[in-house]
Amino acid sequence: MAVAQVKRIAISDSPWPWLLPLTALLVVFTIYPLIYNIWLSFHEFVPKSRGLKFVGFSNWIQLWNDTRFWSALGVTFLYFIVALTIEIILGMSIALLLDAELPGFGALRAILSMTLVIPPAIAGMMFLLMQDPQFGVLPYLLDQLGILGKGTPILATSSLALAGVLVAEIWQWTPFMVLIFMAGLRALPVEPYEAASIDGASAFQMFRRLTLPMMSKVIAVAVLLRGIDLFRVFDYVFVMTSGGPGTSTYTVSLYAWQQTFSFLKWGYGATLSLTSLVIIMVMANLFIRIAKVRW
Amino acid sequence: MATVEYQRIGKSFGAFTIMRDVSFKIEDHEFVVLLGPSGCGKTTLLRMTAGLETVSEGDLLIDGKRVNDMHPRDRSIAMVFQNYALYPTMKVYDNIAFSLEVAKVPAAEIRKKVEWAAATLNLTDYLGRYPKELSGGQRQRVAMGRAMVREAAVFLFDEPLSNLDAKLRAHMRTEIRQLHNRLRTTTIYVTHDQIEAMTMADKIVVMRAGKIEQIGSPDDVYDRPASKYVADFIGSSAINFLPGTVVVADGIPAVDTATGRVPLDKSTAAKPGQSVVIGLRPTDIQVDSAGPLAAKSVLVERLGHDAQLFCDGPDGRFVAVVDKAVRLSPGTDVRFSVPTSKVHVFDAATEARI
Repeated sequence: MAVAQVKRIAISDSPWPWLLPLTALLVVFTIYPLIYNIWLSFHEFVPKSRGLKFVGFSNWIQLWNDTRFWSALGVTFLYFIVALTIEIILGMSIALLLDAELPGFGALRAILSMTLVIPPAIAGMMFLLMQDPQFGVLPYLLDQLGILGKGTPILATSSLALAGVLVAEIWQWTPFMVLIFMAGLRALPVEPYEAASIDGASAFQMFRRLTLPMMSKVIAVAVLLRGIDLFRVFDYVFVMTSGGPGTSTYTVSLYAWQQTFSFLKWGYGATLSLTSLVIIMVMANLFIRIAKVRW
Repeated sequence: MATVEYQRIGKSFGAFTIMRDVSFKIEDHEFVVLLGPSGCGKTTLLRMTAGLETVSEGDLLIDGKRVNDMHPRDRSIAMVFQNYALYPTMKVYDNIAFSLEVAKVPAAEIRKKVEWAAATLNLTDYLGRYPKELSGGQRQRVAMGRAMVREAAVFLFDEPLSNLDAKLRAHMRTEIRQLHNRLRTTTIYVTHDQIEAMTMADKIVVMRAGKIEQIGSPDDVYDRPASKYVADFIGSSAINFLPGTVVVADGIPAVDTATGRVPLDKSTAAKPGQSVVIGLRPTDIQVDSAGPLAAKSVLVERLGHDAQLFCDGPDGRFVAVVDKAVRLSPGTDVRFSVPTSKVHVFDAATEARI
């Protein structure tokens, strides 16, 4: 009986028996929360009655007029662009360097991946300590180099706080870029380089005309993976500055978290999250369209 | 245009020596084929000429200048690789133009040269395509175009036809040779295909295990192979080898083999009593009822214009090219003869031609 049933499913043309498990997971963990989030953005939590009240478009109107949101979006974009640019350039440079087979580089490559196993919140704590104005190593070094005055509280200075957070971000995630780029470099064919050396190309010309174009797909993947992550930045600012001083490190994710869990404005928090999602989706799609290549 | 000269060239990878004491000279305008099985060092020699491998020993001269330590770009060479080594992210136009672009040649001049090369190679319609959008033969032509626009003194080809199908290979063979007749650029061409060597070369260099076995024109190499190895390698239906001993019978030198007594030319240097191996090309063997060689027929393979007769004798399998009208049932006794001038005699121990 059971055997006959299995047989009937196996020979049926319907794809549903096979799609069902995945569809169920998607519905429970992705589609339902998304729809609920959209529904929530048209409601607001009322602490007195401990219930939700329909508020129409008021959350969306509030968002449009919310200067704190626009400022957080600005900070997020700045963080996103600076971190991504530095991580790509630094990551590519280190990858090109490590690609040379020199003694000790194997160990170096292994050490490099260690930053990735540290939880970001812990890395944030580490850099918080390292930037302590009294005993932190970073202010000390910057003082010795004559860049900053003695005992400058980096994370408590509006003009420096975002840079202070970015140091942790870049330290932790550049190795991720290095690993992806190094894998890409390893997969490049050697013959075009031989042909190019006969054709008379210099090392820089080979990098610009061969390596960079041949790596473009790999770079695109790295940008996409890292870019989406960067736009949701939360851990470092939460641990290191809580968004301060003022709003100088206040990101969209942090703002959404605060509205939802500190101020219990669930509807507005949902509106902020959805906005982030839409921005990421639009940017990712635009990027994929631009990054598409024919060769 | 240039000469290329190898003076006692050697190559080792670490403690492992793969080539020793290779010396020969390639004249201006010459089309030289380096021929040998894989692992014989022919590609390594070509890559040393290109500057892609270092020369471990000896001197490499291009146009009389020692180039051992010269960068590939300064050697005035162009190379076509076995897998073409096209630049995958560049269109055909840029693939051909690349060497001129990096040399900062004016754009108008680049255009002129690329269009000339494309026209010569029938690539004009494909200049806007990427390498992956081309067929194998088209890619091969792009690789040739890349070499042509460089106005190099020496062209290097590394088994350029081995990735093409048989028909296209035959076609490109004549194309490359025609191109050489037109451009007259000194060419070094590496292949393991003896047909390519025979049809294209002015001079063939037969290599074996990092050493030169014979240098000569295609006719030389075919008619007077310097060793058993060369005789075996050259010729499209494999040569027959029969071991035997030199005798003199009735004042005529001959070789006694288990298959029969084969008379030699009177001028032969072979001495009576010497152990030798004789080589008989299938095309030189005639069915002859009075002939000295005897075997039993096994199979006749008809090839259209003629046929191959396979026989089994005391010395093993024996092949003769015969008229296609020949009808022989398996097991028939057949006798053969060979003109004395077509008998190749090799020393049994050294395998060198006698």
